[in-house]
Amino acid sequence: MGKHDDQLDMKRREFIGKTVLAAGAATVAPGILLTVARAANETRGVTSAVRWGMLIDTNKCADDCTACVDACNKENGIDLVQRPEGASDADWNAQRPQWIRKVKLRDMATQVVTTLPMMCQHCEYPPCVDVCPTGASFKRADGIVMVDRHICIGCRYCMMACPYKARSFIHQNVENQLVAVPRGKGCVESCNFCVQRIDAGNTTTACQEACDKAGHKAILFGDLKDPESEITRAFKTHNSRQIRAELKLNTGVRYIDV
Amino acid sequence: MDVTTSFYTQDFWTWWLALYLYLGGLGAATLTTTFLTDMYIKPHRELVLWGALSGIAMLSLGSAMLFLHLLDHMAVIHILNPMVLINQPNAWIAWGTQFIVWMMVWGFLYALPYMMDSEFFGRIPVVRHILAWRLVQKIGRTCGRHCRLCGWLATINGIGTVIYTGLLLQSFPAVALWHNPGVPLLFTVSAFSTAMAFLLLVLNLAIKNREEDRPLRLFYERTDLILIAVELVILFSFFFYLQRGSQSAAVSAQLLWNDWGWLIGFIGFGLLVPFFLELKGVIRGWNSPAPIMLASVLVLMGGYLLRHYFMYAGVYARPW
Ligand code: SF4
Ligand code: SF4
Repeated sequence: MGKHDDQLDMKRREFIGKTVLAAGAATVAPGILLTVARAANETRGVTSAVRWGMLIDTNKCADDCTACVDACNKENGIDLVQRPEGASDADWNAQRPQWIRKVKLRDMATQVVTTLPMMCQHCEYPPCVDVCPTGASFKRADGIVMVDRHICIGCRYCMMACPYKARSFIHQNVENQLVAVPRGKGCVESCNFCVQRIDAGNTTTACQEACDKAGHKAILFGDLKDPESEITRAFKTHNSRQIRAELKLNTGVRYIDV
Repeated sequence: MDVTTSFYTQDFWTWWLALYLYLGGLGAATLTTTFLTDMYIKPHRELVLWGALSGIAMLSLGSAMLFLHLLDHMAVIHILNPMVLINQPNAWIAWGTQFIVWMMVWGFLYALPYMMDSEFFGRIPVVRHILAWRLVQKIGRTCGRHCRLCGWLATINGIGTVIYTGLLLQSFPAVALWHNPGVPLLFTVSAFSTAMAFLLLVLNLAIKNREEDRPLRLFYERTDLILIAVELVILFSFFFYLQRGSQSAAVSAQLLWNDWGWLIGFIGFGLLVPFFLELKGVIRGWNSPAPIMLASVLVLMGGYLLRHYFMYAGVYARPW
């Protein structure tokens, strides 16, 4: 082979080498970018020195009151999700998003019925996070469990995994949206302790505020790691329980007198 | 206070997820079995081609079931991205997706040299041209030289896929029936049993009952017999475990053991009848291949029914 051929061969090799490198980079780069973008998003300004939690006094929760539910719907734009045309009542009730619901517990011995608000329990060991294939369902360092809607693929595994039926799936495009609470068709969502307020330095959730305003004061939100916080002091003086404690999820939401 | 509990079955994961788990397990176990057979028992081009291509077809069909249930189809890129394992090393589903993808890739590469030598593929118009491309020829020759490596990479990912079909269900603590270490074991045994049944059908029908394959057919029959026996033992222990487990486990047990489809369809026709047909075949032999083919069809049907009823009997307990 002559010198000219050698040069051509070198150029060809160089070209092939560069092409392979470029192809390799193109394959891996989106993955790295996705990973880096996600990491920055969820850790900024959040610290594990705090664990947000909630204590709900079921004695104070009034049977016919829905102030917390209404406030949550407004704060998080849930009332902006329109009923799809032609959807039956049953279908709509089964699929409309609900971050917080009122449920009734019946005491087996006395048959007394207790009403309480049920939402994402912000588990320390959240099964919804364990099963999520993309990492969209995640727990922040401060204990808030939420969904990154940019990478949620809508597989609904997290809904299947949650023992509290706390998650909702968005079946349709939503026209009007709140800037702080974007939502998209095909994504899952659930109570995030009004994270937009927390990250803005607020220390109450919409449901607590509404419950206080209605005069019931059944919901107490705060930092479980702060020994001086009102919620920590209330924990010390009341007997509280986790719903389905046998699952050992160490929930951030506890109930008094259940 | 002790409160009354309500029990609910879910209505989202229905027959389509059962089909995904079934095809995933069957496809991966078929591919794995044929590759191991080819590498260590008897080199067998036709069997490898059947195993690799039907395995890939079954996994593609099963994955399509999941894909169709996503409302935002473009979002699937987030799970195909292998970097996801760095974010989600705990999610079996993330591992399972990677196992499926890489099993198909290595499975295809293992089968490629055989495809290039096959008269059948040489007759298919477009495929013939693709197989003649220089790049494809080069890849095929390289894979032929490193066939053990390709075979083992496909096998490892195949076994991973099979086990994953059980681990997927096991990772749901809210459902006592699924959240049980016996599930991956049961699904793995069942997947390999259905793979043996499928390959017995292939050997009897597609590869035309060749005399030289007789020892291989007998080997698959014996293996299937053992696997069915193991499956029966696991189910027996499952029954007692569920009875004595949590309330929701007991409700699942009631749902299963009061259902004729489970009892007669799965345990009766899907396990016991093929067990006795294959037992007679192994001990005394049959004069015709028909009884073994019947047993194979029943095992394949039983494999689907197992997953179908498992989906429908998954019970959630809620104190409201
Ligand atoms: S309550 Fe459900 S959604 Fe909330 S953290 Fe626990 S498992 Fe996840
Ligand atoms: S629906 Fe979204 S958040 Fe839930 S498991 Fe799937 S990808 Fe994760």
